[in-house]
Amino acid sequence: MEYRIENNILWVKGKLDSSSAPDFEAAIAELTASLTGQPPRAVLEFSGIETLTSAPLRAMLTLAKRLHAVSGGVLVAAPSPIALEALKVSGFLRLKVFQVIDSLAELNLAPQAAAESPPAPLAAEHPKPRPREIETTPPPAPTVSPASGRASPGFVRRLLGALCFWKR
Amino acid sequence: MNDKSDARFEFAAPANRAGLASCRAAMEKSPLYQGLSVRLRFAADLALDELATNTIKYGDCGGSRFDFSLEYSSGVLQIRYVDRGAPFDPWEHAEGERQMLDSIEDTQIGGRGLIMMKELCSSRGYERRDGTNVVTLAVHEDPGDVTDETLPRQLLKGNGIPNRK
Repeated sequence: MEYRIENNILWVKGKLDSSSAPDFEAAIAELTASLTGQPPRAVLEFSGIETLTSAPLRAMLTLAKRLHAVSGGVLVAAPSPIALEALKVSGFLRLKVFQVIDSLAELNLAPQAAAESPPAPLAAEHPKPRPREIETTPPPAPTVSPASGRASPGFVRRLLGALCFWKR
Repeated sequence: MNDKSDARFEFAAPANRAGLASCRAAMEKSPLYQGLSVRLRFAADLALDELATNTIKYGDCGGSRFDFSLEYSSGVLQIRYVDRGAPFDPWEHAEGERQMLDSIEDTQIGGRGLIMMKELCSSRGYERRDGTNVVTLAVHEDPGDVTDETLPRQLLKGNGIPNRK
């Protein structure tokens, strides 16, 4: 399993099963500790998931329960066919434990972020923290309107401003 | 998957983490697994992970071995798992676990794997035979194809218990 975390998004690639569950739990803990914004929303980018069994699902459910308790939530973005099948047969989709979106673009985040900064390579199982060149406040968490499921235009402007500043 | 020898995979391993890892690695390299659709690969991954993990954690089988086999024919993957642990019918257990699916708050953390397997397969069986638990399941490549005609009559050599979902 490989992963990286940025802007409230956890990118995961590979097989999520009982053997990789401890690493996945560590990644979830790292994501939880780094969440910004109120209410907190975590995004799991699952396009590279090759299998998904119950052990890592437990970590996801724990995260969802924690965030639901403070009016936040967990979004699963671009799930691979296997990840989607796993979420279906687990019953989590019916219960709306996770909100599933087709791509990060639905957050009005990915296209701009991708243009500004191409994705960094996924970290190994125990990634080294990347040193920051400029100490700055991280961009705010994506705020998604419950009605439309899209970020507000004001948020996008603020995010673009933060990204431009960050790149400098 | 035209070659008949590619249509079957069998592996026996000690019922511990290392055994599970070796079985998983052998399965992933097998011609059968390599030729399966995404859905059937997921079914094989899920069954091996859930059943072997359950044996290792709760089977009280003192490091004895488990046997895992896959067989593919006419769009159906048949999975057979045997351990030498305490008597345990996963399908009966999964039925009990389904009662908890009402809300996020009420949803419990454990027991999810058995429910997932039950939802995925089109027929399943369990039997206690000569001190072993024999678990079988059949998964259709395309769930839309599941009809009485396509359901396998017998899941295993012995007494499979076909059980329509």
